[in-house]
Amino acid sequence: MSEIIRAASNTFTTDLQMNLMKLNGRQFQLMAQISSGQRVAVASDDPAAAARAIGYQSLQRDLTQYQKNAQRAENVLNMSVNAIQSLKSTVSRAQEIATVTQSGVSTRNYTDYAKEVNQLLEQAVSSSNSEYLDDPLFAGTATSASPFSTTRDSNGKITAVTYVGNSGSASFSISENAMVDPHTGGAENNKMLTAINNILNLRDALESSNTTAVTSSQTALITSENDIVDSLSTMGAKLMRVQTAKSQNSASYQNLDKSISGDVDADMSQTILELNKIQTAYTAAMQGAARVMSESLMNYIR
Amino acid sequence: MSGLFSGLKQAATALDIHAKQATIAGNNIANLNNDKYARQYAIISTAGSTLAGSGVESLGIEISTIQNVRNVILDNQIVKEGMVQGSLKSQQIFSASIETAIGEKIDRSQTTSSISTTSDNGSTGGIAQGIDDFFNAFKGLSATPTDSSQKVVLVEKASALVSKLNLVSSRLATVDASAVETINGDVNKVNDLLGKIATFNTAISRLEVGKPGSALEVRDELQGVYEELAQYVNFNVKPIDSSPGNVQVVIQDTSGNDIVLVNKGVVDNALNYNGTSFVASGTSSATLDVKSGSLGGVQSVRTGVLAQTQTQLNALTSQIVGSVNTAYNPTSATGQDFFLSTGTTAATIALDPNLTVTSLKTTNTSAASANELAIAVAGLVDQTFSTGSGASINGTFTDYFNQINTGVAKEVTSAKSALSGSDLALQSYKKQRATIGGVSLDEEVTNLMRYQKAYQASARVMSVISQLMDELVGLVR
Repeated sequence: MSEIIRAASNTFTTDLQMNLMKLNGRQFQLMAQISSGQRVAVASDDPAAAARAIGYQSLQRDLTQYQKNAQRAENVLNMSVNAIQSLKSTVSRAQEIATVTQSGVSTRNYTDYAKEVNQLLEQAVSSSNSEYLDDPLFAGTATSASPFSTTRDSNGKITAVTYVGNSGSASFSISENAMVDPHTGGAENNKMLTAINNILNLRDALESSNTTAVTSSQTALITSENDIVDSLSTMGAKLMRVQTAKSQNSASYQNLDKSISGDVDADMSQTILELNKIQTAYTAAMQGAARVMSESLMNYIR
Repeated sequence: MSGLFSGLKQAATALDIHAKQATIAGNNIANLNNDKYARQYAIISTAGSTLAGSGVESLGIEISTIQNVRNVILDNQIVKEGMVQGSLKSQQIFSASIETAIGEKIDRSQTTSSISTTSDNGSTGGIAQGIDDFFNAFKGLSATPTDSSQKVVLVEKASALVSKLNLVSSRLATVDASAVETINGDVNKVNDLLGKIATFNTAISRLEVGKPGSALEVRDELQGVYEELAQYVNFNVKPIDSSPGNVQVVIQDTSGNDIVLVNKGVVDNALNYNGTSFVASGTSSATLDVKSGSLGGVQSVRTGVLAQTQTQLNALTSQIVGSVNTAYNPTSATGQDFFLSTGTTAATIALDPNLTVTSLKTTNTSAASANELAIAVAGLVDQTFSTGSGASINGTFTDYFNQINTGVAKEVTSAKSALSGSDLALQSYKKQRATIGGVSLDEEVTNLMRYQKAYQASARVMSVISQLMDELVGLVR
């Protein structure tokens, strides 16, 4: 038989009050978790989990910025590739013309071809001065002016093209451990200038019906076309790197999100189950208290 | 006849005693909800006997004393645990205030589960996000050095970081001011309670002349004052052997010597707070070792986690300002810093007055798209600093801030957990005390019925003796 404990009247109410407050507090906590979907909202809810989550969120913000940078790099590369491909088409056409005319055509035909090559020259300069968001693509870091500067005669005809950009490189981060400069380097830009000058030389050779000069231009244009293909390969490889970085950023972000979720998010079924348990205890405590408190020896004194 | 008179007298005494017992039960019931009160009861004993002509006659019963049910051990435990509870409550409240002041929240609704290159939730987060956003803006600028909109974003993020550090610093200062205000308020309460103890000491020595321990209600009240005082400050109660019923309330100074606060009916020393420590004010001016109660708790937060958080936040700010200025202005050119070089605390950090969207630079060269300065500043976020190498912090900026935040959070959870244990202990002691000395309505009502029956029986005895005397007197006629 257990020991009979003398129970003071207010012990019961004090205990009841304390237990109801505890149950109420827990209900409030569980309701907050259910409504926010989070088990941890501030660090004191679970310091270790919160520290991890804050660290992960910081990495997610970094990844978001890397992704923005990678997106910009991809845009620059795509624009550059388009411009270089345009230049390549121009050089290819110039080379075709050189091939057709090197064995000799009529003077009139030379003149017509020269006019077409002049247009190709304008197109090549224009492609090489392509911009992305107002910044020239092939200027190195000297982006305040168009990099391929033309000298024109009184008729507006290009008489010389010089490169006024620089060989500067401006790499930036596209992932946690990768940097890229999406722009072409100084060597590529010089090869573009050479290609343009080769087109210019072809035009001049055609204008003067100089088949020897046309032949040497054709050889030079073949070399230029090969150089441009090399540039395209380089840019393509960079594009692939950027796209790989983007995929990695995205995968890392999702993995971090899962980790944060594991640390911070509430297990809904578990939380709701616990809330039901607490609510049952709360209701039972109040019902029991109402019964016990309504009875006293006072009720039997007449 | 003399036997009848004696019986009548005994019955009358019994009536008095039963009535007195009923009164005590009534008093117990009246104090049903008074936690300080210990139930009282009368000790009944025989009044002795006398040698009469017919032999030895009983003199009836008498109340030898009225006692209450107190347990000194439990009373002391409740006082001691009250000191612990008072301290932990304050620690929890103020460390939680520091956590609120730092304002670092984990809000999952602000983030998406997949990476997005267009999302920007502004600057709604705390300092951790502020640091990330600031350095990420530099990373963004390194990719778009000529983009003026990115420069606008960078200046906005830098301003946001500065505002966040200023705001948290200001909030921490408010918490500190509030701590001092609380201490001063509690010191006044302590001094009031010391005055009450002195008053009760005087009352007890006056009421208990020749009857030690008889001023039950006053002693109950005094115990209540001790328990209330324990919520504010640590102290010891020492009985004065030469003056029974009187006590000294003492607290130790920082050298471990007892400083008397209350001596009998006099407050020898009041408590005083000089802004940094507690000192006696009266017969002594010693610095007191206040280590528990709310005063001890608030002071420990003030000199502990609060001061540490402010120091760490200033160290973080100083490192950010110094590192960014060095990376952004490597030649230390006058007027070309990013942050105001003199603003090296969280309260004073500011952007350099010369810094504008137009003056913001990414390079020291003439090339418009060069980005070496932006890259240098952006790279700082991943740099691991070491105090061993002369830095103000250890780890990266984000790690260090995370340490500050987690350190405070651990204080909150530690105080919360310890408080929960202390609450349980205190409730348990109080329950044990109530089990022994608390008033049970059922018990008192049962006793009341017992006294009522005894009173009725004694009255009946008087009635019978009266009838007998009437019969006897009737014979005389």
